[in-house]
Amino acid sequence: MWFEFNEEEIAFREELKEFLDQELPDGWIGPNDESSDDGWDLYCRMRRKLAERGWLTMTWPKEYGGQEASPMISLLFAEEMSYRRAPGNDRFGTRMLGPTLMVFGTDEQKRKYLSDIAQGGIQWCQGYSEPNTGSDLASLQTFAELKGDEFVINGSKIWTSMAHRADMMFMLVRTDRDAERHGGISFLLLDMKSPGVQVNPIVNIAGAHSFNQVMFDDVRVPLENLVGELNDGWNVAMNLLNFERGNIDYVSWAQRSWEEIRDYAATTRRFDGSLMIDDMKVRRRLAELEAEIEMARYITYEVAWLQSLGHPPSTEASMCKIAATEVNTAVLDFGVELLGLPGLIDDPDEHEDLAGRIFKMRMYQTSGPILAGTNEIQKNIIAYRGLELPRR
Amino acid sequence: MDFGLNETQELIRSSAADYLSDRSPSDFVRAMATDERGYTDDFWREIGELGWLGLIVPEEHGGSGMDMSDMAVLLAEWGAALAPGPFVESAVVSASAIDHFGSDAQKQEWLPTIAMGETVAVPSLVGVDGSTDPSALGVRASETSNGWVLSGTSRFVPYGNSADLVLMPAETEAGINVFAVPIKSAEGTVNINRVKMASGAPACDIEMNEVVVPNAAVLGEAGGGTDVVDHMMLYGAAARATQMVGAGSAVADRTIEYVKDRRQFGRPIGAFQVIQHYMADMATKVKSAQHLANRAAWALSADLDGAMAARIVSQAKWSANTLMHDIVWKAHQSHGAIGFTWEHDLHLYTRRVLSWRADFGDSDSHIENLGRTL
Repeated sequence: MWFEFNEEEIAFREELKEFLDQELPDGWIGPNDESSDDGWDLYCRMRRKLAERGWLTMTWPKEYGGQEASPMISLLFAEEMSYRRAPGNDRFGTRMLGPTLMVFGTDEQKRKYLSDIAQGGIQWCQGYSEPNTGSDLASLQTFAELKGDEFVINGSKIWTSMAHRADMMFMLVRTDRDAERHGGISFLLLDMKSPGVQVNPIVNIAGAHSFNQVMFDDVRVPLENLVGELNDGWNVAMNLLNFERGNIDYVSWAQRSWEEIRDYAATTRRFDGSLMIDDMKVRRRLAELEAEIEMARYITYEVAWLQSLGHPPSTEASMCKIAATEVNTAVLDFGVELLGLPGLIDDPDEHEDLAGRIFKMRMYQTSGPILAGTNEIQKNIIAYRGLELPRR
Repeated sequence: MDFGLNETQELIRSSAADYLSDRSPSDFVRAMATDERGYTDDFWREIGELGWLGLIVPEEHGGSGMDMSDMAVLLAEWGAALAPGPFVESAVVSASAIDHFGSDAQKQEWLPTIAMGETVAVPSLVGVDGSTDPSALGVRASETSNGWVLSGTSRFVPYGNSADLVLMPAETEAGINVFAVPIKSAEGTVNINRVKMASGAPACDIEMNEVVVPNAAVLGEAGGGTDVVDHMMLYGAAARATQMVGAGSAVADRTIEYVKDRRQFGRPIGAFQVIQHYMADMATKVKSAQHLANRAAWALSADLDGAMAARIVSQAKWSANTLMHDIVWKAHQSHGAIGFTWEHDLHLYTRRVLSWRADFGDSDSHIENLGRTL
């Protein structure tokens, strides 16, 4: 039992802090709005600079240009980036697709894509969810018919983050309608500029264009873009999920919002002249939320620790997803109520004040308990895989 | 970061689990819950021989010289087994307070016998109002030419009817002193009244009239008793947190087994999603509180800034209080009527968890400590 970072880890965090002090715009508060062109430019610039340091691919094996960094260093990287609300930490390419190609990709696919991903020069998006396929991913219907040496895709993907900015999509499609539902799925790589691809924006409850519906009308994909075996895409995708199981981002976002709310309470006087934080109810609720953040943080650290021992986490990853996303929304809920009517201002010009952006942050973070497997699905995973409860 | 046990800790864990499942099964726990003293001499002697009572006592004073992280491993098993007796009070709180604040003479007098089990030492940390506010003292001490005279009532002293030594805070003209009072042999009038408590562990109101102790009985600086009390609260809170998580973990395990076995509507109730989500919540709560409790024990072993360590301990105790409380009541709900019976063991856990929640700082006091140091 030891609950501190070692010297190497602390040194890395210092180096990253200095880098961010230098590279982020002056007075940066974040979060970045990638739906604006300025926001997208900043994202791309940061992504390239992070790639130059080798940080985006630090966990990759050396043979693919990585640093074989420990899961704990990788966690520290994500923790600090998210705490600073810094853009550019691409995970679709570096954390999800890259490691998948290393396991399942052909030599040609590795040569073609891995170095682009490592250099931060390409944006990927993930084509999994469909209008009728959410938590029940294996029910997906987008069909790819193999005709000669190419697939012809018809159907649609939805809730696709970054699709409007992406160069490429990795996607799951049905390639055999007669097979058992997990058995007829394949994993494909699609050029987003292919004829027949149409990206329709979806505006989220925060008022931002962050995701999309992507329509496919006879879209042709060469057979060489199949990853893994035909009809073995479920296996490829499940393996990919094991790469992206940490949820330190939510812990960091919760921590940062918590600090902003604490500072607000410590400096804001009520009409009677008293500081908000001197109200017993306020300081105690802040203290409770802080303890809940610590709980989520240490489960997340445990996931990285398990990975560093070579044990793939399963239920721990689900536990930290639940704990981290729930405390993140709880912190913002408290903040919105504490701030009163100023906490309900929804005006981009007021972004510099907490009062002007906390409501938007709360609306954004509603997605946390929903995406990447809803928290209810996570509880099912804990119940079945961890506690071995019966399915019927 | 390291969430694992080292070799020594793994040995402590497995031997404690084996010994306690053999020696402290539920019929023993039940018998001790109605026993006048709450534990037996045999049991106490045995755990002394196993080295548990001296686990954190320095080797030069007859102990094993281990730290609070090692102790936490044992306490989790102790909590899971609901083992009886003033283990935290004597082997953790009193031993560490004497080691930390005691003179050489006090250490030599008390530590080896605490480690052997010959001296049972307990702290008095409950206020006259029955709260866990240790500043609401009911005992006053006045200085005389050859020592101190203590009068007043100390309430809810754990195992006060079998303790040999009570670490007793008392109000003096120059601040608070903590006295090491050999309560059985004290000169003066001592009345010890046992109160039957929910946990089954006896607590005693100790009335003292003109009890005389020597100057050498003052633990730490004269007038500096608040530091000693804070230390005892800190170590007690960290110890209770790990013990509570051990108990909560056992409750979660038992409940998960129960919902796999119990069938209704032609299937195990554990196949219903509501129950599955209760169980997933329980497992997550155990894990959450466990990390903070282990971190608190670690904070008392590592060389941390005192204020930082105190915050870490308060976070752990508040979390254990809150989450283990949730777990026991959800366990009752999941067990249904059988868990409402005296015969079923579940209420033994419920009683301990609710009692431990009040010990060494309740939830409000810990969250207030944290709220005042944001």
